[in-house]
Amino acid sequence: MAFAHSELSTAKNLTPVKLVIAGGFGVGKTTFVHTISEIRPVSTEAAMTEVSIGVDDTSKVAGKTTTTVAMDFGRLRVDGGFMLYLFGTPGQDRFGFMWDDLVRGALGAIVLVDTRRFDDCWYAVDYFEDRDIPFVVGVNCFNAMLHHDLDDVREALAVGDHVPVLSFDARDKESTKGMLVAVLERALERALLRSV
Amino acid sequence: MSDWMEEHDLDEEADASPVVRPYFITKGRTRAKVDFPIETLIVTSAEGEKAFSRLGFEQAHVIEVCRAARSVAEVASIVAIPLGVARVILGDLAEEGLIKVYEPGSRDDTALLRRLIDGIRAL
Repeated sequence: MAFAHSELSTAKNLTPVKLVIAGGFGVGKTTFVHTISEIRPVSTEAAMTEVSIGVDDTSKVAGKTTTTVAMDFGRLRVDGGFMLYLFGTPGQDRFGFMWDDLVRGALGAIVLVDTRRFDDCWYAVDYFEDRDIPFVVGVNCFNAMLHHDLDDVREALAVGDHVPVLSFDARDKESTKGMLVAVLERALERALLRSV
Repeated sequence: MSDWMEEHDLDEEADASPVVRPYFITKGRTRAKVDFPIETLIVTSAEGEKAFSRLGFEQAHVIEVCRAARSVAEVASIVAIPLGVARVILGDLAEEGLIKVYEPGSRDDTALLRRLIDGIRAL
């Protein structure tokens, strides 16, 4: 990327960073982004092209060139110099092929858990663990009601002690800020360990 | 697939599809010259403004949208093109120096992480 370096050296101090919000369908990812984002959450579509070959023969369907899947995201300006992007993962495992692109370069991830449907988040937990991406687990407490003890959640997900498991309210700004801080602190802990 | 076709009015589907196929914009290319992460920030450069009138519709639209800093994902969303197409266009514009590219920070950067933590607490 030789072209970019001269531009960057003269560019104003503005660094984009990204966190990923993962978890099953309806667990509160969009609410989370909506609560903290400065812009109304928008979505973008990633085209299934090469991966769709043989699965979705677009030549058979008139007027249809690509199959797309939407990703919701929002952003907030932090400390003047950062543009923090929050990307919600597509809910289903079958969109797993998109995760590599979505997650690449992320500072960390927040895995949202619905304690009635643990199955929905195992994919995310495995994904981030396998790739050494710092993450925290968030139990979204609708109506301030916790269906499981947080220790039970930790046990059910079989995550290590270094992974924070926290309850929060996706509709509350202070609460979502707390989750962002938690995952960044986890990322800092990991970065410090790697630098020694 | 035949069930699907029976259930849907194909004329209506055809009307809803874009007039220009996404990959026509990129002249059939699906690989971008630069593989931008989706949060990479893009800002139109002075050269980009000068080139505005000679650019194709989508390229000009991107230049217009990026007068304010936008991520690759936002560009795709606002211009209403798939991410892959946005990357191809942005790669071309970057190569010509028509946009400035701000690369994402790293999760191994402890100073960056500390500033972010303090910054979010202060929000």
